Amino acid sequence: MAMTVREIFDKVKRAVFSVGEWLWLFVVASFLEKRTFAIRKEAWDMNDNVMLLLFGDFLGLPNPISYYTLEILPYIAEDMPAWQRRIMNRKSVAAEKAAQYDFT
Amino acid sequence: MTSLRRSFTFFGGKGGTGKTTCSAAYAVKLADDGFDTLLVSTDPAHSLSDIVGTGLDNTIRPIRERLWGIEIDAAEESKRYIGEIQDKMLAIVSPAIVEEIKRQMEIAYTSPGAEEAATFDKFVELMDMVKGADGAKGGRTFDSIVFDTAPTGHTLRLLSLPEILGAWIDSLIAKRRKTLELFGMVGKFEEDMKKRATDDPVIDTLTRRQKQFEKSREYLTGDMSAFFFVLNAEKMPIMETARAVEMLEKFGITVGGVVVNRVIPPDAGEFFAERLKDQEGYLADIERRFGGKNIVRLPLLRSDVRGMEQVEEIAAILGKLE
Repeated sequence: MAMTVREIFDKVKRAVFSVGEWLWLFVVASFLEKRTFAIRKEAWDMNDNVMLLLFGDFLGLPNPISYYTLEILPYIAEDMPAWQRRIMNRKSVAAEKAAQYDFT
Repeated sequence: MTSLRRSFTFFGGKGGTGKTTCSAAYAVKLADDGFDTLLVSTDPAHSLSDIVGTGLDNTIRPIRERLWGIEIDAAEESKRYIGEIQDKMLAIVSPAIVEEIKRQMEIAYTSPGAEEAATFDKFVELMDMVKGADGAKGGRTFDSIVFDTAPTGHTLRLLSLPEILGAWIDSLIAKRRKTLELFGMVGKFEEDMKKRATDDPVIDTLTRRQKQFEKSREYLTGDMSAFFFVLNAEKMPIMETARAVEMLEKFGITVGGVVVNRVIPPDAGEFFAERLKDQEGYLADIERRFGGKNIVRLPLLRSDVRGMEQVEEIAAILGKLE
């Protein structure tokens, strides 16, 4: 079946667009997301560390001002249960550190 | 005494030496001299009410002309503090989370430092009421506050750590700020974190605490405050006082002097002859150890301290403490 010029043009256009879309997704995944991924990971790690400094006594680490950090609790209460699960389930510090770097 | 150079006077010492009596007497003296004076008891087993003959509790109540009193109830204070946090929490987070965290709040409430921290908070709140304090906000003010019982070891530890604590809070704030900054960079995912980067209640709270620590240290280490130790001319009280004085001075807190209570008069009679001899030695020891400071001797009274009558008798002698 012979295609009209118009049809061929549309098909090529679709193909180009679809390749472009794939290319765009590729770029997002491997460069843009990865770039922010490192920052987000860093941000969450730091957030966990701050939580540890504030509420270490919940894990049994003495804190000289634990009575006073309690008043911060309302503002971070939403993160608290998840943080505790994360911090209690730390299996390997080395693996966590390794996750910060991109070996692929 | 016409001018008052000191706003806060603390009486400390071993149990049973007569702290409460001395602080009451000193407060009476200040009130009689025309200063609006607040007498504060921090001892969990309060005996101030028994001495002044007025029922006192956790609110400021008048005792006599120009004299008010309060017995700090640490348990009540910390309960109020925890209650406020719980209320705030209910307003901010979902009830399910509150339920999950309640247990931990209970733990914090019963932790060893909780009552001392609560007492310390109340201390600062009261100290703000003295005339000329930066915290005095037009409410009731006093010329002078007399504290029965010096701050405990825990409080002193808090005060002794201002540099460390300050640096610690500083680094907490810096870390929190950095975290929020990072969240801000990738803000399309953590919208509310990004929003918080500019106006964060966590940083506000930490900053407020830091200021409070700084202020209380200023109150306690400046010439606004002085500590007096009440002791008896006996071996153990002397040893303990010597240690306590050393600790306070290490923290930069002025020790104004010592009050030697229940000094046996020389004409006490046959029964006391032996003790009088020992007392000579101990009094000499006190002079040697605390010689640079004010030393006031209070004689053993004919009767025990039962009320304001004896307190007034002592007040006249304690005037020398200035």
